[in-house]
Formats: sequence, structure tokens, C-alpha cells
Amino acid sequence: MNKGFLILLVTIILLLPGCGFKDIDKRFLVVAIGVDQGVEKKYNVTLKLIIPTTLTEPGKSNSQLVSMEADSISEALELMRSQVDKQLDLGHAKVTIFGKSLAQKDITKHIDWFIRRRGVQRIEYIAVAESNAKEILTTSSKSERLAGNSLILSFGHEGTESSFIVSEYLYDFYERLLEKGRDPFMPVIKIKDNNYEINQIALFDKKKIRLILDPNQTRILNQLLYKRPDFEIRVIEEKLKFSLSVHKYHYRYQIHRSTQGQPTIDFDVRIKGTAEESEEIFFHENWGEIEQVAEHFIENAYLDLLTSMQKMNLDPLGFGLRYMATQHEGDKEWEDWKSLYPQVKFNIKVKLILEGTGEIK
Amino acid sequence: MITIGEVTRSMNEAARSHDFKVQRLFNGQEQCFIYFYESLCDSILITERISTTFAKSTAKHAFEAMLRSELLCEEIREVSLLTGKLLNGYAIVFYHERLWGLSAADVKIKQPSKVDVEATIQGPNIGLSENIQTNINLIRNRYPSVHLRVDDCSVGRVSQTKVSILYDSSRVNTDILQEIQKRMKAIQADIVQDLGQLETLITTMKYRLFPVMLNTERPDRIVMNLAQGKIILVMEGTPFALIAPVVFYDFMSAVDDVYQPFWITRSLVILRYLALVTMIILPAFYIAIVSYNPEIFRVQLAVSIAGSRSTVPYPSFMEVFIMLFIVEALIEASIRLPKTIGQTATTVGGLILGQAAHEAGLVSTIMIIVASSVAILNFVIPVNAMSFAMRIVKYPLIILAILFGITGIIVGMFCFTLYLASLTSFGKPYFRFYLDEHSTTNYK
Repeated sequence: MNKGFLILLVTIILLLPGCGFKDIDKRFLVVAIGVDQGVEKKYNVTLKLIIPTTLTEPGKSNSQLVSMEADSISEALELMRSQVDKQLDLGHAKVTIFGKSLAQKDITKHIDWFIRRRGVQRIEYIAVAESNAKEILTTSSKSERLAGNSLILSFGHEGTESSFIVSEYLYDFYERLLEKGRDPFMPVIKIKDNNYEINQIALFDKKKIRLILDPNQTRILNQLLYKRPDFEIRVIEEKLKFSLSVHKYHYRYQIHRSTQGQPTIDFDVRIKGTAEESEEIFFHENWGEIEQVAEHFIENAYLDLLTSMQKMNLDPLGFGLRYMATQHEGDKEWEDWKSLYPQVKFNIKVKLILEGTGEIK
Repeated sequence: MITIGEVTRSMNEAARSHDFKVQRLFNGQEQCFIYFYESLCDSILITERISTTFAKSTAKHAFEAMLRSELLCEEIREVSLLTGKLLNGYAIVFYHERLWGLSAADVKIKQPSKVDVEATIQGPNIGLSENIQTNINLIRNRYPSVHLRVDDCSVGRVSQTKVSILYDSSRVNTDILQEIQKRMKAIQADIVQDLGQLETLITTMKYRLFPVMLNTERPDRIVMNLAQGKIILVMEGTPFALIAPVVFYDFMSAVDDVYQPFWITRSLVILRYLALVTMIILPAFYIAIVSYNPEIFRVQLAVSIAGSRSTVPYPSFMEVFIMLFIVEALIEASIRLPKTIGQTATTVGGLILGQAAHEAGLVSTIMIIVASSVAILNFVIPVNAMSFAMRIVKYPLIILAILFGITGIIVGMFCFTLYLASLTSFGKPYFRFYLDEHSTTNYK
């Protein structure tokens, strides 16, 4: 290779401007995307943009909302570009919120854009708004340092570690949409006193919302999904009312399918915790009895949740996937499971160890 | 028999210089001539050894006997050798048609100095001096072995600079030794005054970035390397020595590494490598992330960077070039400045300029952090020659980052690694940790 050619090559390379070069201050960072059902057109897309500041102080978050109606999400984005003076950068979009009305129709079509679009990271959180997504994006909590930060903190389990908040990533949701025997879900965001309230979960079949759990059931599902300790159980029985703070939590389940009779799923739950709040002092009482009462209570609550999901033929815990993984019958497994699941009987066995009553003599 | 005419003719050229002295001594019976460079010789020594003895020796041939018995005095049988001897600080005596040379060199700097460049907190503190004999003395004292050999030679057609090659004959790799000797002989330069220059002259590679010989001022490092069978070059007039062959790791290790406990040393080595990598890629990464892939940052950081950059009207790479230019200029200036002014220069440059550049909206705050940390990290590398080389390496990466973003940096780092791996130091692979040598320090 002669020198002239090399110089030519280098000059050509240096003259290529590289289409990706755009400084960070020439980009609008999108933190949250909201997708609602449009009034006139198919979608109403709202973007929450951060207005950058040098000093970020609590409660001084600056943000800008842009929203646009269009027949497709990408078209809406294209239209929005003419509204803002900088390039829209979706790389920092951490939360995508769907309006409930959209989620109650066919979610698969809407989620598709997010998976395909370059720039959208699959690790973003997705959620469903109780009413509409725009309302959620408009609200910003008072203490926020950065626009959208409180949503990110809540879902990321970095700030609050509430046992009511079930977070769901985009990639996981998408996987669940495609996976047989494991159903998708999304947390539900509500607005309450100008603050977010996230304590419910919406369960999907492979298409749309079928069931929204109440906060207590959400909490149990959260335990079952992530096996994360540090949560409270409020035991309310006739004789005894107390709160249990759980330090250690573990469970296993097995699917039994006998040739005759009902198929069963046997849960074996182990909980260790201390009583935190009670209406009367029971330090001197027999702890074994207290444990039994609590165990019984927890068993009932679990059974309640599992059967209500079974009734709607929903399977966010992936029983179906486990079943198929343990059988050797090819495609027939899934057909089997579809007929088996509605008949399944749940046997729940809770072993609670009370480490202390939390009382001082 | 040498005639006075021959002697005078051979000194014709030298005699035109004003510091060249020719003197005829006469003690009443006999006469002799004495020739020397006043500027090179110790005149007290000459007075004491020659003129005093000459004055006393009244009997015929008594002075010749005195000269014969004189230490450091030898007879010169060839007239052609005269000028060489004179230039090496000899005083030449012409007596009874015979020539005698007395070594009367007066070397001004003999004292070894404190280590300056490779300082340690606790450890040997005396470095080499500018006198080659003193240096060999220091090394021999630390390495009392009969196998330690000193080969003298001189380089530079005009300067005739004395260079000694030191090695342990029982451990040295003879191929490398011969290679070095061969290359030293082939040197064509007129003036050779420093080991760095010598290094360039005896390396075959024309465009070289990294040092392939280790330049050190510490006798303990020299001795450690001697014991590993390496070859040491010391030169007259330079308080340093060259070590060959070397590997990349040698430049990342300080001598105190073997003086410290295991975990401290290992952590420090890791720290140095981290500093090295960070220093090379940090400015390039700044450009790549700020201009191509801001999603790598956490959103909180991205926002504050975007905020602090909002006053800057230029693209990110201009900012990087402005800051790095200032920093490099500061480093370069403070090397040459006298120590007293150096302090002021760094304060003005570092503190005031940085602050003002930010307030004027020329650079962002994050860029100031990047620039100053690059400057500091650069000095973590223990051997100066390497830290200079590494200062250069970051620029190609910056250009690649401007053009291709993160991909460019990765490709650049890959090529950089390949380049390092392709280097050899006197036929030995360069980019490795050890050259199969045994541990001489028994360091655990």
C-alpha cells in the first residue's frame, strides 16, 4: 500500500462526521414515557423531559411535558420533534406508563414499539396508570431532586423498599408475554394527594388486564415472586391481633400430578420474624399457639390469592413453566397443563418461627 | 626515541587553545617539558607530583625513577595517543626523549546526590553521581562479587563520552551483551551526552514511543537488576544508569515494592494499573459518553453534566482540547521553572485558570475534574519515561472517540495493546510481567 493511498484513506475517515455525534446539552433527556388512548387518534403519547440544571436541589426539579396524538407511537415522536429545540434522547427513559384503557385492550401491539425502537433500553420499568398516564407524568412529588426521580427510586428499590411495590422491567414483561406458562403483570400507579401511590398489581393474560389485586394480595404476590424478606404481616384472628415483622422468608413448591385424582401444588413456606405490634401483651403465653394461629392465618391468605388467580386462569408465578420443565412430553405438556391448572388444589404449609414478641417485661 | 619535534607537531592543534599549558621545567642540571589542559587537570596534584619531585631530583635519571614509581603514571610509547590522553585529563611529561602520562584529572562533581526522581519514603536515599568512577564505586560496594565486570568504551566521535557496561558475568545473557556492544560500536553521532540519547541511538526502532531501556538513578535498583542478569550502562556526566533488557512491568514497579509487605505492594501495583488505564481513557470516555452514549451515566449525573455543559458553546472535544492543552502546558512549564516560581505557576494555572475557565463558560465542571485527575494520575506511574509516554497515548484515543465514540476507544485500546505486545527490548518480549528471571529478593 503506498503512502498516498494511506493519506487519502485517513482523510476520508476524518471527514466522516459520524451521525451519532451530538453533545449531551443538545439532547433532551426523556425520563418517562406515557402512552394513553387518544381522543381523536389511536394514541396520546406524553414525554417527560428533564430540564438540566447545574445544581440539583430537593424539590427543585424542572421538567417539561410534551404530548401529541397520533396513530402510531413513532409518528407521535416524529411530530413532537418539531415542538422541542433539542434531540429527544430515549436512552434515559426509565419508566413507561400505559393508560389503563390501553392495557385493557391489546397490550402486545403497544409494547412492540418499545422493544423494537433503538435507544429505548429494555431495563426500563413499566407500569399501568390507574386512570391515564399523562396525569401520572404531570404529578411530581415535592421532594424530587430530578424530574421522574421518585418513580425511578420507588421501582428500583433504591430509595423505598416497600413490600407493596412490585417492579417490572420491560424485557421481563416482554418475555412473559411470549413465554408459555408464565403470565405478565404490571404495577398500578395511582395519584393520591399529589403523590404517587403504588400498591397494586395488574395481572395480564397474554393480551390484556384480567385482574387487579388489592394491596394485601399484592404484598403476598411480591413475596412469592421475589422471596424478599423484610415485610410485615398483619395477623387478624378472633383471639389475636398482631403485626409480624419478617426477617427470613423462604418457600418451595412442588407440583404433584397423580394419575388418578386431583393434581396438587404443595407449598412449603418458612418464615422467621418477631411480633412488632400487638393489642395485648402475650409474652407469657404459649408462643407455639401464637405461631399456630398466625400460620393458619397466612395459609388462608395465600390460598385466597392463589385460588383467585387460578379462577382467572392467571399464572404469574410460572407454575406452568415449572410443570413443563419437569415433564418429557414435548408439545403435549402445554395442552396437559391447560386442562390441569383449573383443577389444581393448593396445599399450603406455613412454618412460622417467632423469634421474639418484641415486648419488654 | 621520541624527539621534541614530533611531540610539538602532534600537539599543534591543541596548543592553540588558551587553556593548554606547555611548560619547560629546569632544575639546574636537567630539563623536562610538561603539557596539560589547565581546565581538565588538578594543578596542585601536578605541582606536588611532578615539579616538586623534579626540583628535588638532582642526580641524573633520578626523576625517571621517580616517574616509574609514581602511581597513576605510565609511559606513553606512541605519539599518536597523546591528544587522547591529554583530553582525558592526563598531564604529559617529556623527559629524556621519553613520554610519561600522569592521570591528574580534576572532576568537579564527585559527590553522589540524593535521589530526586525516584524518591522513596523509607529506603536507600543516595542516587548516582555525575562521575562514572563514583557510580561504579557505589554499585561495586552494593554488589561485592568477582563476577561483576566493567567494560569501558566511549561513544560519540567528538565527545568521546565514557560509558561503562556493567554486568554479572555468571548471570548475563551473552547474546544481549554482544548485541549491545555491537550497537554501541555502530554509533555515528558526534556528541552523546545523555543516556536517553544513547538509548535512542542503540535502539533499532526509528519511531519509538515507549522506553525499551529503564533509566534509573537508584543504585539499589541497579543492583537488583544486575543480580537478575541484566546489563547496566553508566555514562560519564549523567547521574543515571540504563538497564536492559526490560519488560513493561519494570516501568510500573517502584523499588520500594520489595521493601513493603505483600498486601501493600500488591494493592499499590493494582492502584498504579488502575491509574494508568483511567488516565489513558478518561478524556476519550468523556467525549464518547457525553457526545455519543449519554445513557451510560445514571440519569442524575447525566442531568448535572448536561447542566454544567449548557454554558459551553463548543462541542465536547474542543472543551477537552482546551483543558488538556492547559494542563500539559502547565506540566511542561513547571519542569523547567525554578522551584520557587514553580509553586506559583501551578497555583495560578491549576486553581485560578480552572475556576475562571469554568466561569467564563469555556469548560464544564466535569471536564475540570477529568483534566485534573488525568494530570494527577499521570504521576502515579513510578518511572518518568513511561509516564511521559503515556501522556501521549491518550491523544490518539481522543481522536478515535471524536470520530467513532465508544467503539473507537475499544478499537484504539485493542490496537494499543497489540502495539505494546509487538515491542521487544533487545530481542526479549516487552509486554509481560517477568523475563523468566529468578527472584533475587526472595520477596513474598
